[in-house]
Amino acid sequence: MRASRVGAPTTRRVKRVTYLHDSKDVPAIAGGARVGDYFALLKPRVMSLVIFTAIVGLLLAPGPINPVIAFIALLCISIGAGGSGALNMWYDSDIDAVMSRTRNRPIPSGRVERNDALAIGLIASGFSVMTLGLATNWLAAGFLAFTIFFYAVIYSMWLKRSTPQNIVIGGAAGAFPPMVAWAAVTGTISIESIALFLIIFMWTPPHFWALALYKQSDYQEAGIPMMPNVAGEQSTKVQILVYSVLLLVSTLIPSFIGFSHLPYTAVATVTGVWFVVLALQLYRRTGVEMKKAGKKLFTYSLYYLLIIFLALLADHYLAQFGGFA
Amino acid sequence: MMAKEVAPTPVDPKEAARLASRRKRSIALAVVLGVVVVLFYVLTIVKMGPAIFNRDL
Repeated sequence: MRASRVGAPTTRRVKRVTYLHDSKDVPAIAGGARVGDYFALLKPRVMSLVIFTAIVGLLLAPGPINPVIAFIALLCISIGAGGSGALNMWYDSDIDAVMSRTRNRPIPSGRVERNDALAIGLIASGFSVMTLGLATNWLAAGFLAFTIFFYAVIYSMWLKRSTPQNIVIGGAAGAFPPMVAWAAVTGTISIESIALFLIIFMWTPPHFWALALYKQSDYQEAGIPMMPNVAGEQSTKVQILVYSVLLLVSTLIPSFIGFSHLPYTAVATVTGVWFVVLALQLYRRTGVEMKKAGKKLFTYSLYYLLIIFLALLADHYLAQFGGFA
Repeated sequence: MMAKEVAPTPVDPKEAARLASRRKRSIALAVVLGVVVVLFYVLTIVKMGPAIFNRDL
């Protein structure tokens, strides 16, 4: 910092920086990022889903875990998810600037520097993996590191821009958190935790393709090969239907392997059949009606995942406390 | 001896906003560091467990 001469009037010059995609709501000021902007880098909405599914994984896993350790494990998984979100925003800032859904994100709006996002992403990722390893075990930590790598490198840097199967394979990153939580408690990977993984894995394609159907132009402008832009609407609708049926089947796996009981099976069947019905409605519609059906399925899919995991949890505790045989 | 009164320096509103943001970021960073210290302290105590008391004094 330059010292001003004694007695001379101090005039502070502000370096004016013009960004291509300034946010309309918050003007970009060089070096003026708010704390909230850094928090937004961590993708709090994605984090909330990760936290929720990880809590369910922690609670369903057999064996005791100290509540403080459980809280720290959850914190690490959340921060790891946040770190990978920041790395994703760092890498995707060019395409985020083009899409209406993402153009107000901290980097394209000019509120946060790209390098800051990269630093936050790397620090958060490293901290979360190391702390999880120290608090629980190194299998869970290694698994968390792999999840971050999968989302930031395999999905964001490679698959997202190269194949319409991007969210099918990349969806694995979002499906790992309950397995990481399970590994944090048990130190192992088991068939039950794989069943939890499969539910989220099968849920991801119909969820994102439903969104892509009514946000098609966004992805087109950004040059992202989403399924509707590459294979067409009809093919996407067929694949949504197929994955919806596979999702219904995968939600019943916990019942087949004796991990859940009648209450969960009933909830999974009813909500899963309704998912397929909505996918069928989407399949039959075209034009504006199709976009409406896509939006309806997308919204339903958010509640659906919440219901399925809550049902698993409720079923588990009902069985544990003798609510039913 | 009386101190000479200095007129307040006019500050650009953008500069003021930038400084306010920087101050808030610094506070947030300090809070995060404090939380990390407490977190590792608690983690250490919990990992040691009650067995820490089973020793000769």
